[in-house]
Amino acid sequence: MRIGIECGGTFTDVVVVDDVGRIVATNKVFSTPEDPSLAVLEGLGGLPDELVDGAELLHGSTVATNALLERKGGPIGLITTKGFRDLVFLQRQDRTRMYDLGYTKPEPLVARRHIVEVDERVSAEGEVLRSLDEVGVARAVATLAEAGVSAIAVCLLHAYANPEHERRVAAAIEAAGLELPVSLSHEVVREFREYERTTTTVVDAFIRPRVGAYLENLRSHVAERSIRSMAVMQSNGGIVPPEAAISRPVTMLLSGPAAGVSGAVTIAAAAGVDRIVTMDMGGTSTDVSFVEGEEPELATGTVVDGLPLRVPLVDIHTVGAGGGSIVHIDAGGLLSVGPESAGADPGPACYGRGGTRPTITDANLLVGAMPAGARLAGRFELDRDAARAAFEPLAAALGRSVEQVAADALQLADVTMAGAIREVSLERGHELDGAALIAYGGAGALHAASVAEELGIDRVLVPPHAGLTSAYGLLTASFKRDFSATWFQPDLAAVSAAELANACREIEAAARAEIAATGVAADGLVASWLADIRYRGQGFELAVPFVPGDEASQLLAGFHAAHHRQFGHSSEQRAAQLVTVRLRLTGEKPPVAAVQTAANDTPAGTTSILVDGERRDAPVLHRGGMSAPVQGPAVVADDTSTTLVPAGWLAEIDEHGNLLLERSAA
Amino acid sequence: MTQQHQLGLFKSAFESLTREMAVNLRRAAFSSIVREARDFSVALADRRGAIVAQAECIPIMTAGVAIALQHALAELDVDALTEDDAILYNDPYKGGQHLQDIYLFNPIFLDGSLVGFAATTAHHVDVGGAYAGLSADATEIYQEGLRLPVSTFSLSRDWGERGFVRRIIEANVRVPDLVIGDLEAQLAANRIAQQRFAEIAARYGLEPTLAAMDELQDYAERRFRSAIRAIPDGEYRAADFVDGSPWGAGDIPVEVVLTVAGDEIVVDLGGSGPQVVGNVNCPFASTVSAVQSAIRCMISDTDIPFNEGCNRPITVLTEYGSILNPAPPAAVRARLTPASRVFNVVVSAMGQAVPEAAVATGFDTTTAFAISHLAATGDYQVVVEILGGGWGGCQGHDGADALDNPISNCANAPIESLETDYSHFAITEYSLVESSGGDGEHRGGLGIRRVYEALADGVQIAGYADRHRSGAPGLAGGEPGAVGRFRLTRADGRVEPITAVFSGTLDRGDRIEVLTGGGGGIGDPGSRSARARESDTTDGYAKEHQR
Repeated sequence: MRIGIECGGTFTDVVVVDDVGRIVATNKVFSTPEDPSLAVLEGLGGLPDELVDGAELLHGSTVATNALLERKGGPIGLITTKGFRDLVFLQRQDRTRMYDLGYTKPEPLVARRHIVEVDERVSAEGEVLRSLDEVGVARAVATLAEAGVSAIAVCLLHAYANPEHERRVAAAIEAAGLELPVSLSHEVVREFREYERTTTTVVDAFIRPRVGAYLENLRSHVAERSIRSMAVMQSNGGIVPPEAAISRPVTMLLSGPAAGVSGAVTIAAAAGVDRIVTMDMGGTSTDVSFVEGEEPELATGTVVDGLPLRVPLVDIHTVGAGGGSIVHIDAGGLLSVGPESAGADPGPACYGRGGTRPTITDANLLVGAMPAGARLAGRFELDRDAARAAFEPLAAALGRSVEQVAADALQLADVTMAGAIREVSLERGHELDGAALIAYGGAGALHAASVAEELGIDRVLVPPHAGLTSAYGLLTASFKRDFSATWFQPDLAAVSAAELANACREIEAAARAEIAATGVAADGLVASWLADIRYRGQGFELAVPFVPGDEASQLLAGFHAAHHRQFGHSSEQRAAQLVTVRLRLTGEKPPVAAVQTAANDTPAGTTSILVDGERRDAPVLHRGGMSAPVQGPAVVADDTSTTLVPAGWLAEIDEHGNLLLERSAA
Repeated sequence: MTQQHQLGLFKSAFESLTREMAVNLRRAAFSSIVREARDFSVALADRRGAIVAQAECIPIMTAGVAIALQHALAELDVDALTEDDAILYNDPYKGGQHLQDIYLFNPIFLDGSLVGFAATTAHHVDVGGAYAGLSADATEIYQEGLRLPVSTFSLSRDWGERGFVRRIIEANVRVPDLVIGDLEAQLAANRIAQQRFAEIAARYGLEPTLAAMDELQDYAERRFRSAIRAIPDGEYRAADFVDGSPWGAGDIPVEVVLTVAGDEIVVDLGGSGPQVVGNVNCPFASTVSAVQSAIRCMISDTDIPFNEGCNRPITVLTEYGSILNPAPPAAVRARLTPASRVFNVVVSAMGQAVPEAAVATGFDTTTAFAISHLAATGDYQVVVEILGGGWGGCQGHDGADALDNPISNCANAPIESLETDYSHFAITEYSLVESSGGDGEHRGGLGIRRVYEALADGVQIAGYADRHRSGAPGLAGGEPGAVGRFRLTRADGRVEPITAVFSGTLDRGDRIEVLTGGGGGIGDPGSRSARARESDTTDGYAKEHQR
């Protein structure tokens, strides 16, 4: 057996598959953010022993993200090049809000008093301009030891080009007898741009004690339940043994959404769809990604809590409202949705957990898209009266009925979400024409068809167990590790195939050695390569696939084509530069079988649903029991999610157990 | 008449339209100033040229679009426009800002009638003129580049490979690929506006769409007026001055009398100095943009969508021929310097009206520094650096350290990136300037020190700045922030003084320190908390107090 357990912000989801990849059990419990492992154990506790004994556990957790966001942890130290102590405060000198004189910059995770400079300097080419002042290093280490730091980050200028000085600083820390986690910038992210590399290294050091303690603790607890082995999800959509996550925890950030995309891609591939927009709508926001083919696009960095991180991650964009987004009237008297959210606690008014403000979920209940008697996570009955009470003040202020206001709010949320998806698709150079929308997350399937309609998309796929897609995604993920090294070539055209192949060989040997050190057999892993290339003078790069042995002309052709696709123009006359080489090592994909949904014999009911301002009776179907296509308006429910089939859409179950919605010709 | 409950949908759709314009412009742009510094703006206007929706870009670019478009339409026969027409212009004396900011307007037609305009503006890297990179020396507009008057041109006839407009521009700028490429990006942004507008009208009907365009202006106006009504009526005065003036112009006063009456504000800047010889004159549109930005920072309603409705309650008065509304042929390149002082005096006057929102003045200066080199190979290497400074202390917390000018928002260039790309200089220090924030209960933000060392002989440098002689004032007992400075240290250790506006040459081993000032402090330094003092000392933000 293989068990996927995903700790999200609100729920911890459990999916169990057997050895040929069939889903055999699911479970859903409330998350326990203060110690996520409690929910993991509770989720496991709900499973029969025969499923757990000897099983493999695949785990996705917000523990790294929470450690960063909550900023709890002992002080950490940073050792940097003389003259550059303040990089983490200077940042990029820009701001994210335009008209706020009380602007405060994102606060670094390290205090200025714990940043010490050492005299040394390396050039962009890796040449040592000033040798490392070893006496100064010893003094710096002593200063940090005395300050009682719980981890040390080391980031020296141009260390990606020559890591020798960083290695010697690490040796000095060891020689001083300090048993502290040490993060070296050239190991965490061997790329240029000092602020981003420093911040990533500092974050890695900051979350290491907590992530390490969490994973060690969890591993010993699940071993007590006879779990055979454990693996952890990363932000790149791949899984690794806990050792790898403990030594490089920054790669665990934002892994939950990545798992969801991994699951969605697997489901889409099985259904024969090769161009998808994923829409993961949760309690507070909606995550969107665009996938062509079987591999989600990789981004090389993101921003968490204002701090830029250079880590390989599935390219996911947060575009808007979630089920918990609050509906309100703005200062000019217009109905608005979000950005404030009722979150998981207290949650929407209808959850009956103390929330009194109207949310999108309450609106769905009021218009009948979620049928009366609908249950949260299949268990807790939703309180329609509470939803109505929450909307009444808005209805009174606007002079419309509660149902009308709820419908207005839903339309506004859909239009806004569609607009945001269109903006991101334009920005990333993805075509929406002919794509299918894959909807999951607690609220995704309620909004999918109407958002698709706004986008001109005619096909929507709702996977089985759409409320558990991230947990399912854990079970479809392969082992994946990403490595990068800035290898600056000012004129790519002048680089020979042999030089490039040699550079790749060195990078790959080091990567395989690092993987072997975490106890994974590195032999069977497959290498794939990307080169970050730019036109001379550009401040950003595009990643172009290649294989070692390729001539520069092949890389250049790929770059011009990628540039044209993404930005609408390219120029073969302009000189191009190679900046960074990226290596991914991937293991075998686990077996995945078509999902069998349990037949549900509960009689289908009806719901009174608001269509264009009028109440209509619409059938409520149990997804397992659907044998024939159904014309909207209709509602299809299963244990973890509810799908709205709007008027003008046709729904049926495909051979893989997906609910397929298509716009009717009429 | 749009149904009230549908207005929110239109607001969302138009805002999305302008954000798509912004995405498209950035994505297709060639130059890094547009791509990275986002020095551009985009807007959707109605058929009278009034702005309906605008994406959030840098403040100085925002309010100006409305003025530019109004000026352009006032001079044109709007009824004679066709779908093939476009308007390209940058005239600083007719609603433009400086010559680098080129506007492109395209009319939007549906079923043969004019329904609105797509408007974009972007900062172009070169528009001709006397010098590449940065020049501090211009005394009149003719030295600053190509001036484009208000006129229409035919896209099909004049914009093709051999078209007159394209060829004129190509022939007058140093980097035609970048400038034409960025203009094409502006055109692409306007095209997406035309396309999305047609989709919105098809979805909701043309009449409701046109009505919503009017109503959204009224909606923004309503919110703006209601925010102004919350400000006590009265006359509020503030003064500051520009000390970074070229050609020995001395201190140039910038003064405001700001009158709040009911739901309107009159901003009278008539007491400011006359225009000067040199490039620090501020075109009227830049002055209005600075005023709008300042008021927007000081009102309580923080997310009013920007459109024509926001201009209606505000009147800006200037003397023609003054530094804030210069007559031709004044040079205007460094217009951010006086515009920043306009921003400061309006913030200061508004702070008297709304004491709970008052902040101390920040360094709020664009310090521009160019370091270029003509290599033996004949390749020109030009780097222009923009540095911000410390922001003013706020009620409740210290001012932000090391941020760009509040009416702009330029990011720095990473050192590892500069040293990879260029071989004529290295950066030997990049740090906060300790003790540069004005002391106070909440101190001003700290300024920036960046030290460049020449790695070759004959490296050309030039720069302009402000607040090199007197620092940003404090508020309510807070002390002023430190001043900025340029300091040149020759390889042999000799130190040469340089003024706030300068040009010169470095040889191998020479160093120039570019130092920017801090923000003013707010409140009595005696009330600064013991905890903040402890951090000042232990973290080294303010080692020695001047008291």
